[in-house]
Amino acid sequence: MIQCEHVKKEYGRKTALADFSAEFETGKIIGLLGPNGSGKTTLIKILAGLLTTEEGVVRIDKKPIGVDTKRIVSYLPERPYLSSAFRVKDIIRTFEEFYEDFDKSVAEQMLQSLHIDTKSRIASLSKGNREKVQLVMVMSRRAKVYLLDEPMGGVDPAARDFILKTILNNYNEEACVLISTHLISDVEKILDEVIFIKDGELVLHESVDRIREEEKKSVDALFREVFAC
Amino acid sequence: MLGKLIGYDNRIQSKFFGGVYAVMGVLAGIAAVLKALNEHFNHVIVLQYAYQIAWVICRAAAIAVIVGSIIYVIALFRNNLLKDEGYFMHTLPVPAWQLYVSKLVTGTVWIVVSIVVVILAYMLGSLDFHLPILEILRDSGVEELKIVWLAGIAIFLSIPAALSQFYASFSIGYTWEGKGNSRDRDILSVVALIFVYIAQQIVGMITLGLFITFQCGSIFKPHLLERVIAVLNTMDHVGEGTKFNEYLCHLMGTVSVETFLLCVAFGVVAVWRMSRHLNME
Repeated sequence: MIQCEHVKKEYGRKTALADFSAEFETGKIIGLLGPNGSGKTTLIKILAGLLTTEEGVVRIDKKPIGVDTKRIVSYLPERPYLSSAFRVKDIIRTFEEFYEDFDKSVAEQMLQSLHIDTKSRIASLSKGNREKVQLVMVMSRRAKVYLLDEPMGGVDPAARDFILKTILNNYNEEACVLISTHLISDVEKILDEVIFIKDGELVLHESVDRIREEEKKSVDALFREVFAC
Repeated sequence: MLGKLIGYDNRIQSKFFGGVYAVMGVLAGIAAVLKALNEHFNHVIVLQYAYQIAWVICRAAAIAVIVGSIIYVIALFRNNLLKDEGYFMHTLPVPAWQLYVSKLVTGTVWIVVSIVVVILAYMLGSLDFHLPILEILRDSGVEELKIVWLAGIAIFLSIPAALSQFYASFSIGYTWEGKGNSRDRDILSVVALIFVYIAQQIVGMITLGLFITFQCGSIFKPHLLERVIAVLNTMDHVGEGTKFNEYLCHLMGTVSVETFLLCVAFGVVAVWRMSRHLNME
């Protein structure tokens, strides 16, 4: 579903991704793990079409990144990105207009369970609720690829559980889900595969079951070992 | 999809402009009421002062509406396409050129609407519903009407052309290589604007040179000034009004074409940067 071949991305003199190659299949939840500045967000932004690469080939569903891939990719950034001029119902309308795979009833149900009034202004919502609205919008799509960049960053443990539950209950099971996070112990239980990335390079790409069987340790423990300071 | 984007941009902007126009309307209404009271009770000094103050506030508000509209529309491009909201806009399944055209079209329309609202507010605030331009149009002949229309087109085109300069500058500044922060990108955008402005002036001078060449012969041949004066003198005579009108039509037409082409060129630069060199912070 996702192919990255010899991808290179530089910011001036700093190399964010160096000769990165990987393939991600459908029907898998993949954890993109690495220390700060390792290139996780850079990779996700490239796949979402927000960054261009210096070298390499990136394809989603055998197509280069562009309008066609954006149609099937549901992206959640690590920052607030919805216009604060709108109300929640305006955001729902916008997603409905632009994305054919958006399910309005699922979004409204999730918002209702969170006690978020769709007539609320985005600007009046707390940071946590704003992030939940963003997550609800993204997970209400029947996309082929979900790119979630630090979906649990800066939220309390109860909210993290809600986010994980939302991801598991609402994603398209035939899709590829790529989650970038630092909170490995929280997310490990839902991951099928993990990618360790360091200094823009792929260090490990393995299934979680194999790590547990062969390394006899959790992903969190292996991460601490690989990235020990 | 372009229609949906225009609808989206209109919804955002209408929330801002709706409030602004409402305030303008209220201020103009207050000035109108005070003016009417002043005319009926012109011996009451307080009413005279009240009307003068209200009229000054109304005029200041009118200037603020025009300037504020231009600043808002330019800032919206930056905030909605190149800062945090750009994470949403650039992940929509639409090509970059549609994102650009939607901003340019809606920005131009709202600035024109702001100008109309200010004119109406002026008329209301002064209780004078007479428009000199309508008299000019009514009294003009066919040739003069043509010039007025061409001048109107040139003035209208200057709005998207000016916007496209700012959009191109922001697109260059915000997509420059490197992981600069927002302040660095704004500084780069200002630098880009300077270069864009210089480019626009150079194109303007070349266009003027070509226009003079067409009217008066090559600008590189000697006695250019004498040739220009000679051409102007031929239009100064009684009965040569048609030639002068023709000259003005050509001038307005040339300005309009130049403005349009600059608008397109800056648009191409902005779209190219956003589609090939997007570098969201």
